[in-house]
Amino acid sequence: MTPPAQAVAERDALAPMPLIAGHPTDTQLNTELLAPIFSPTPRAWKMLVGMAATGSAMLAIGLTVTIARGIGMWGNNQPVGWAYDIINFVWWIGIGHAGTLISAILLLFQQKWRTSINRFAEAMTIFAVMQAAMFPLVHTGRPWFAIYWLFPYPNTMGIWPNFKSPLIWDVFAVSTYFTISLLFWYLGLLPDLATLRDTAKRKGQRIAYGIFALGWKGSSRHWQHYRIGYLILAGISTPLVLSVHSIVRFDFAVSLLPGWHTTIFPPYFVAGAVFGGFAMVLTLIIPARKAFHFENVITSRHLENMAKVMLVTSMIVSYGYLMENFMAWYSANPYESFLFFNTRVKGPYAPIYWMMIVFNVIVPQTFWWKRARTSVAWLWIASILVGIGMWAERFVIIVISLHRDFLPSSWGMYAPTWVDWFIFLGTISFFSLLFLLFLRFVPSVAIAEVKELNHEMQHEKAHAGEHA
Amino acid sequence: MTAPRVVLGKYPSVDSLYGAARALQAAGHSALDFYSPYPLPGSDEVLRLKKSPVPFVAGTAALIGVVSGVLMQWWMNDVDYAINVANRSVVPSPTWMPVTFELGVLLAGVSIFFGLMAIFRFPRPYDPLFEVEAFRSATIDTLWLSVAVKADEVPGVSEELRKLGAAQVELVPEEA
Repeated sequence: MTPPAQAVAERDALAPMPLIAGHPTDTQLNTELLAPIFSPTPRAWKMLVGMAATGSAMLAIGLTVTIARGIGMWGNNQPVGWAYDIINFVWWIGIGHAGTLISAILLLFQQKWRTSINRFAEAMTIFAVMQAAMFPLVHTGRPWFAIYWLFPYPNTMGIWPNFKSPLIWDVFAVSTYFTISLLFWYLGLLPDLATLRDTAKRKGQRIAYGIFALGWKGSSRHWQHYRIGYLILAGISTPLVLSVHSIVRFDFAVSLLPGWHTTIFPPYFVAGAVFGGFAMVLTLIIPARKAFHFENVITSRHLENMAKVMLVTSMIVSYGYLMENFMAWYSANPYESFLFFNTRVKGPYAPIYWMMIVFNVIVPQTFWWKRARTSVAWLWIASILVGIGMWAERFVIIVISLHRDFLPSSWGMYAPTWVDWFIFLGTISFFSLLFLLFLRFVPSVAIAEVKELNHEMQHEKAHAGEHA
Repeated sequence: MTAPRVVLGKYPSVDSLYGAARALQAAGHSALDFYSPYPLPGSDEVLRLKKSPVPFVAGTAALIGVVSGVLMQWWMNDVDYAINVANRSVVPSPTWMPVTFELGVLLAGVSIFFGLMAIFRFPRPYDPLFEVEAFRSATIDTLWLSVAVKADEVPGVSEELRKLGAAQVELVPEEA
């Protein structure tokens, strides 16, 4: 196969970087993309899994303490009734959204560059939503009762959830989102699991992957239904993802609290979710690409495109920040003005606010320069900064808005306890653990789709040759 | 009447695969199928496949989701345990929209997945086709054509497949 460096040198300087470097055959793509699964377990992977598993134990401890002794173990207290739990919930849900955006919306717009990265992104969605769902569930205090608090489950009290509350909308939105993302991911995986089954040499592997492949044979009679089903799933996932984050934002927007009560919230948070989510995709994909030598299929053009999406969404988010401030001034509401022009910018949590501005507004502005978009090291650093910035944004919205109540006598400060930290860092570890297992046991690049794209590209090239 | 036997032919290119399929169809064989690692453009037309029922299934399920979402919220919040907020009119309430929408999407998505499983008759981890070791390449890097024929036609069809450019011809063992 042509090495990537040579492929880059061969191409026309003005033509865009190809989506697949060189001219690989199906066999080569197959070997290359399945290598992480069939190669011996790398030491680094084992070490990372050990670290992630240890971190996940923190999550187990944090949750056990919370459930055994109650949510008084957290730092939340009047007036800050929502804190790490909701910050982390919204942060994780937002991270999940980029996965759906990449896999569904870019599929509908026939953006071919999604092919190499959609599987990563979808896995990220599922694992992120799993972390997110944990927080509100534990925040109910007695999660074993949550089934009839959250779902319309017939109970001896004869009561039902109140469907006028955005919190119940959240339950439906998040559970639907998780279910649909999982089905979409698994349906996309089906042909690749069959490829794994048929590539595997050992009987145990053949049987294991054979069970999960459900009997896929690549039959054209199946592909016909499969393609249309996959496309419709993508079609319904697109409004779904927009609805989920809009609904998450209704939790805030329908209240009367300064800093929450704005109509701009739903659209600006959808953009924010995509922004933070793309950052997380980059954070995960850059090391994985390097470790598994996927540079041929996850080319610098993919990374560059992701940087461009981040630049656009960052500017939508920046516009949101600007509009919030404008409205606070224009409404002439003293509580709004005080929050935006005093508490946020020079209150006790002001450093977090300014960190948010620097990481979410200024850092992505570097992506106007091609050098920044193509520097893998800078992309990785910037993606982590944006991840932190988006977390800070949720802190600013939730804690800063709550901690100075309408009456100064009711003001109070919030500080997380060790249990808050254990749960938060624990979810990061648990997410990493799931992701590491995914990288090792499941094809992390959609093989069937890359092969299809490869044929389309070669076909196009052949025809271009005819016309020349 | 013996059970039909399946003959497999491996083809080097999509054009030769389609050419072979058309020739077999002209000779009166209709139980054809292709196997490929990725969807082949134009295979639906060559195999003369009917339109997929999947969009209809998804649409019906979405409608059921929407209707049941509205009925559920109306019955729970206005009939069985009425929540009267400031005596506002409750039907239809804009606050029902999110749950109604989500249920429509949920049912559509679930019906697509399980509908596909029903159409494919999955899970079916074992298939006599998997007995043919060479056929494993169908999900990796090659194109295969299958044709179901009567037992006595097997030698003739195998020869025909070779003439039509098959690089390899295999007979699928009978289901045990």
